Amino acid sequence: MGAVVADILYSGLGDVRLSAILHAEITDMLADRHSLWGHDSIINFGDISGQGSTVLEVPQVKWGGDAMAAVAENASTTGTALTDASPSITIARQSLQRNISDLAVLTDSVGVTIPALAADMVGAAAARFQDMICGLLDSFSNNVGTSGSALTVAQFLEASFKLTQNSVNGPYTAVLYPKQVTDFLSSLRSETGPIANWVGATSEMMKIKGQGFQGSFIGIDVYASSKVVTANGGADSAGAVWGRGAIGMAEGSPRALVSGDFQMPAGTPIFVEFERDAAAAITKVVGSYYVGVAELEDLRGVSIISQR
Amino acid sequence: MAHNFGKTSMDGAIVGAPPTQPTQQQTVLNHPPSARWWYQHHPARWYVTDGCLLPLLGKLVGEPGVNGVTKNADIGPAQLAASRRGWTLIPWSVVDGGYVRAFQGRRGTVHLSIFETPKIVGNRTIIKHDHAGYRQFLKDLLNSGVIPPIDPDILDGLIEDKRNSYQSAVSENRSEAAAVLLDEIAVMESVKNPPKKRVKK
Repeated sequence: MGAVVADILYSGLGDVRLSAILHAEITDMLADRHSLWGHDSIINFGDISGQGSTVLEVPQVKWGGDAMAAVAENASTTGTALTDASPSITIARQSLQRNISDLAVLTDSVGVTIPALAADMVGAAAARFQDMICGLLDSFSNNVGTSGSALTVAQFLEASFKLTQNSVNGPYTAVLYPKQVTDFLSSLRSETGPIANWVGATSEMMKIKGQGFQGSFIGIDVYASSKVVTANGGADSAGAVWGRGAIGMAEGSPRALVSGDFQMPAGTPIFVEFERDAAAAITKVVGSYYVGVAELEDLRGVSIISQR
Repeated sequence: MAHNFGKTSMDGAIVGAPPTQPTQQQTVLNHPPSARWWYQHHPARWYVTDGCLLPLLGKLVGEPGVNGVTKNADIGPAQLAASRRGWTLIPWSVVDGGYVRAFQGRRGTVHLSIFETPKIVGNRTIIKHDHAGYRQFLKDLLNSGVIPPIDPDILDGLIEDKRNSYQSAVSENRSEAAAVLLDEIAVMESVKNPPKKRVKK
């Protein structure tokens, strides 16, 4: 009589094998993490904490904008009014809250911890800032593009020309919806000669300029952002190109007003607080960021409207 | 009086309500949240579409911290600042029920225009656009006087811009772009010099 063969198979080791294991490192899910937070194209008027208002008025004067005129001998000149303006920037609280249970914390093996949630508030603030900036891009009275049609190189150049004609100092910055960028690049493929002056984003440039940087065209940095708003009933995207001085921002940091357990990620005005709900064994991680953005000068920007 | 265990009448019957699904199972849009917004018009912004010269509306977004919107989402200061730059707010009341709709999104309320209809397919949200409806909305705004007709000098400026673009397109052998620009110029010229109505004698 032959011996009974009993193979030890993986399928039979349910008591001593796991159905799935977690890789030790977390990888990022797909998301648009591009943000112009800290970009040179946006004037940062700093921290307005402790100055008595949530509204910052930015004084603007047209120095050097009025030329002298010839005056006949023995004639008198007359006074010329100074051109000035004062756009305002209003800061408001932007916030994100995460609630994590003690059970979730103690079973963690990959790094989804309270410190990680706190650190993530920086990314959340940057994303919110980008939302706010994109909300401004359709506010310029100058515009180029054709509704329902793909963006072309000629239209992009037209936007640049409008800025030049309005004496806007470069360099310029463009933020376009991803479809606008791909349409633009498709149009560029048909161009020849010096006009095909597209410098694509290298890995080094992307490290410096951040995710979303697509390249540079005639000196204009082009960024893609999925947060660009729609126009014309959703049929089009409203990106823009602008020079420095078109958009401004201000921040507020309540450092002196906060007590208790909080932390401020280094180099940012974001503050993160922790709130403990002992009865429910929940820790709340609340990030807050006080910021405001506003259009400062209309002629320094051009909206780019094209098929979404 | 003793209780009658016989046939009960419908009077006094307890009526149940349809059950609500748990939050995780509710149908919500997989779409980024957005704040309330309003259309606004600038006298210099026009575009040609479907053979018509129509206003190119912008949006005033009610996001606290954006362009003067206060911490309580009050758009008053923002509206004032925009009006100084030449913008005119178009109130929701121009359309019965308003031209903005709020939808429940996965990460917050999503505000879309009445010309955008969301459709959930799998885990994606598709937005269907009513282009004809939006164009009619713009025409209605013009016809009702909510938006004044284009200023003649603005129109002249737009025509000149388009002519310059047309000449560039022709010289660069961009025939398709040139054809589109020619059509746009024709539409603008027809607005500038509308055909005279024949008067029946």
